[in-house]
Amino acid sequence: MAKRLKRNLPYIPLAIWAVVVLFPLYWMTITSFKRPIDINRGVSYLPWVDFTPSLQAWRDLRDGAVPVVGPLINSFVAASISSVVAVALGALAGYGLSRFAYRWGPWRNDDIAFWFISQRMLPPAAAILAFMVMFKYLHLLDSVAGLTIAYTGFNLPFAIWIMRDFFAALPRELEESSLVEGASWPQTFWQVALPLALPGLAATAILLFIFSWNEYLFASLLAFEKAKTMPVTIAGMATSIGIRWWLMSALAIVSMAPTIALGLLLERYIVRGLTTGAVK
Amino acid sequence: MKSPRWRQLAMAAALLGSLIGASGPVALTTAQTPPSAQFPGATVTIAGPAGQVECIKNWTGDWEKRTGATVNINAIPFADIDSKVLAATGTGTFLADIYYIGAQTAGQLMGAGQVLEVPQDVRGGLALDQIPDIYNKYQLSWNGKLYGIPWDGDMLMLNYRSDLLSDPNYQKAFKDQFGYDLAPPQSWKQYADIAQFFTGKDWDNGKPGYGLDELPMRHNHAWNGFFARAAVYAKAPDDPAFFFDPDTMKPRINNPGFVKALEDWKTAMQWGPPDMMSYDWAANAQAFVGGHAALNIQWGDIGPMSLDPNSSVVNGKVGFAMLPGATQFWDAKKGAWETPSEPNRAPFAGFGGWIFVVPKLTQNAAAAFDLASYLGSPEIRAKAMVTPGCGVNPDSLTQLDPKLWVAAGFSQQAAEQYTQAIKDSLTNPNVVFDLRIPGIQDYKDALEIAVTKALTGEATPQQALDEAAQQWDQITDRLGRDQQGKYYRESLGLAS
Amino acid sequence: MRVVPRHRSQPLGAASSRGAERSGAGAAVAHAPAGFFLNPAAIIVVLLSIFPFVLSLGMTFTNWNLLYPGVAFRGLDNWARLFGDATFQRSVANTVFFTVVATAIEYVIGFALALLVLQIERGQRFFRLIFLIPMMISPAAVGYVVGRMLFSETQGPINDLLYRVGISPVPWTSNPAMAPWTIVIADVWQWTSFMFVLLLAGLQSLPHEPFEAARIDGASGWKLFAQITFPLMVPVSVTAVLIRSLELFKLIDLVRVMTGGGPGTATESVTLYVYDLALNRGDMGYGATVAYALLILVVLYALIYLALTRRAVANAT
Repeated sequence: MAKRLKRNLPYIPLAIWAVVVLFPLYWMTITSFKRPIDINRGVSYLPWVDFTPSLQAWRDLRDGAVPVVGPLINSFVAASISSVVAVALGALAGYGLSRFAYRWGPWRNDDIAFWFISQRMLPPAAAILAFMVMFKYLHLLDSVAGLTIAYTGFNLPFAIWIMRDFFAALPRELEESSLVEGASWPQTFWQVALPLALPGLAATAILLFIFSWNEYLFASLLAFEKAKTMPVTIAGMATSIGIRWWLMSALAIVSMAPTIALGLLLERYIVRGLTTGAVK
Repeated sequence: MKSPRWRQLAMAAALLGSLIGASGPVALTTAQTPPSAQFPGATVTIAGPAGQVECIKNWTGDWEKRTGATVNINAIPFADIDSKVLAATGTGTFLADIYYIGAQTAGQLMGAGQVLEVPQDVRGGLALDQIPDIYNKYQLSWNGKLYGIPWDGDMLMLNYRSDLLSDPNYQKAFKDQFGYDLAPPQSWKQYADIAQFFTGKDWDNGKPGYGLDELPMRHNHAWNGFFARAAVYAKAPDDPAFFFDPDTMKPRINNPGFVKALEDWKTAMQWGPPDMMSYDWAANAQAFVGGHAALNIQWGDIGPMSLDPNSSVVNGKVGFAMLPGATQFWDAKKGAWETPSEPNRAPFAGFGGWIFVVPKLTQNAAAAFDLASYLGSPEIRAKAMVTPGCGVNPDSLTQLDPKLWVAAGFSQQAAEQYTQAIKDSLTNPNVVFDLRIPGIQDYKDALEIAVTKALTGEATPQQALDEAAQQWDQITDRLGRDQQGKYYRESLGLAS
Repeated sequence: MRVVPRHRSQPLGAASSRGAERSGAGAAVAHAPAGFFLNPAAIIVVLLSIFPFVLSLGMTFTNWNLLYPGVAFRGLDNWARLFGDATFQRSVANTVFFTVVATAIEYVIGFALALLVLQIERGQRFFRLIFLIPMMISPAAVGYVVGRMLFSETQGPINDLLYRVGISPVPWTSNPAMAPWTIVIADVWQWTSFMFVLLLAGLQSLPHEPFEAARIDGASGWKLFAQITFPLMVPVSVTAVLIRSLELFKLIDLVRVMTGGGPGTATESVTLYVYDLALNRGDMGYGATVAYALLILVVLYALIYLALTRRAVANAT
């Protein structure tokens, strides 16, 4: 009896945290079925019990009262391309940093890696004007390509930092025998090291995808109309004449759906990928 | 060991390449342009606050048909609109041909020479003579030149629950408690009594209601909430200046009039919702039209909002009045309290309204002014002000005909009250227009920090306002005292 | 740039710790194209970041205002202004508070959840999925939906539920002492998931041998954790805490939506202040100065943090 109790004990805290996580999501879901008046009137918890659910917000989305498809595509293109490119370049750099001793003036590998990660330390609000000036001359303002490039820039330092740890943890015997057999370094990387690191690559890409998918500040200033992304569309529901909670909730659910689907699909992959040594 | 993933990667790279290649200018096509069209094939972009700017779609179709141009609406989240306009201005980036922005930001752009003067040939259609001085001179113009196209007028006012104030039981209880009749408050003292009286009373679905509902949140109208109260205590009828001494640019905000207003406000906080400190515009409006508060300080939006059956539970239960007055006011020139025969009134045009300006960066000034002046014509403004969701309030006297409001769903009495309250405010000789000098955001934040610190008890009202006044002096010195003085006098229409 | 291959002939386990090598170890493959690996990323990062870094640094010596044409050199005026700026100082204190407290709580909860999830057999996948979700929502949306809607003091469900069980309403965002904690709560809600996923991965990749040896010695429970699990988890912990704290130093979305930095300056973060200065007031010069001050602070933090943790990491690997 006591043993059984002990075995089931972990479920209590886990269930508590699950409730903590799920309650806001539940709230978001029921809010998307409320009418404005249901929200203004006060707190209500259960559809059909203390308010009558309405499909209004979802109809509005379907009818295009708030454009959703464009922002979804923009977000998806910018987030997926930038995370894939960042992981590809990050894998190369991370591999280099874990296999060769670089010297940049007084800098060694650790310093170079630190320089990469330090690119994430300038508050974005200061960098954003510089991006506006750059993008203006490159004609990249209000374009998905511009956002993609900016996000690649943000993601790359993380990708390098994580991938460096990845490759450092991989056994080197296979690579050595490949080199001995006369393969070049790039061939060895491509044929030996990379396949071993693929799960980690995927896991890193997903994390970076989530970061870019949800980025707000740059998207809000570098995109105007054509390249508007989902987070900006969601924030747009906080209008000068009131927050449209019902639409905001519906939009938040819509924008969560792809990342959650990705998570469901690849959750095993994420954990296993990171397990191979990403975060050593 | 080549995995198909690598082909995907290569495809992604190719996609990125084609994306960059394809992001050039997009060709515009306009179908069947009438031969008489003024701007065939042109595109006019208008950038404005999301949720509000879309409303112009109701009328742009006609203009497009007439001119052969296309209107492109760029809806920006409300919280980002000023930042975006500023960033575009500073980097010389084309954002839109027309900015649909608040009068304070517009005023800064005017003062900085970043917007175009309204050409003479489109002024005729705006019926500017119907627009009271306060908007004509301050909202739309800078230093005597007209830069803005009218759209919306913003006058802070008092909204109250007429059903509660006229309830015989409450009337009797109120008279028993305070010794005078329950009626719309004429002074902030009476306003406080009424707020205190209704706090905790149950008219709201079994939950205790709140006496009042105001705007004390930093970055979200604490400035307006404060000066709405302070104006009557600190604005002398014979002195056009309010925020500063116009000669020395010494801030007045820590004089006894302002301190009294802040002390009042601090006391009043207990009669509002406990989380009022974090109420932005929308939360304030929703609390009142949601039926939770008896008194409300807001702009003219509450009137039309209260009619909307989708969001309001107080339809037909709202009364309207000018902001309360004060029996005494501090005369900064004399340095003494004055007691006028009638309570001092000083309506505050905080925020100042949404207007249209055409930036220098426009790509088609003629079409932009044509569209802006078409939207700003009295006919369309009159329609917009009664359209729910437009967020447009009356800004000219012709729009204050009660008949227009009865047609929109107001009761006769409410329509009369509503229009009268706005008319009285607009035409009051002691009206205060919002500050519009360079550095306004610096002044604003310093004041809002001080005010919110006093309201949450981190500092006394006197300490907080002294601190703010010191900050204001530093800001003025940093920006140049002489130049700031010149701007301030110009903004008041005083000879500089 | 001089490049020397780090190719080693001995097996990984016997290698010295990273960075300790000297050049010359693999002279046989000195022609190895090390630049091929590092240069593409380095070039992109330089291209994308050098201009923002240099331009922002330049701005700190000017009075550039977005509204007004013309820029004047102002020497160190902006830097001097930092010292008398109470809002800046408060924002630094707040940011340090957010970073330290939120990172610590997220780390502890994330670690505990990861340990617990590995102890159960049924429903493991379910919990893992659920715990991942919060990080998939845009922080701006979390600010509105969690921060504003749930914690609304008069119209939110949390205070309403408390009221129903007889607890007086909590002043979540309207009280200057409470508001920073509410921001922390929202951040913890969202980003514990990130810690959880990294730490879970770390736990799963631990070698089995030390645990078996310890069990044979009779260690269990807390002792096992303190003597075996935790020391082995130091490297992954160091990375997880570093990444999370770097992001928290730049916290803006949540604060901007939930409190706007108020009441007063009780929740003002440095990044929010930078945003406000630069993009609401147009004061790019001073905004960039505040940003650079934060950059210096964060770089110092990261250097000290990595130096302090270096030995613990080396011991674990």
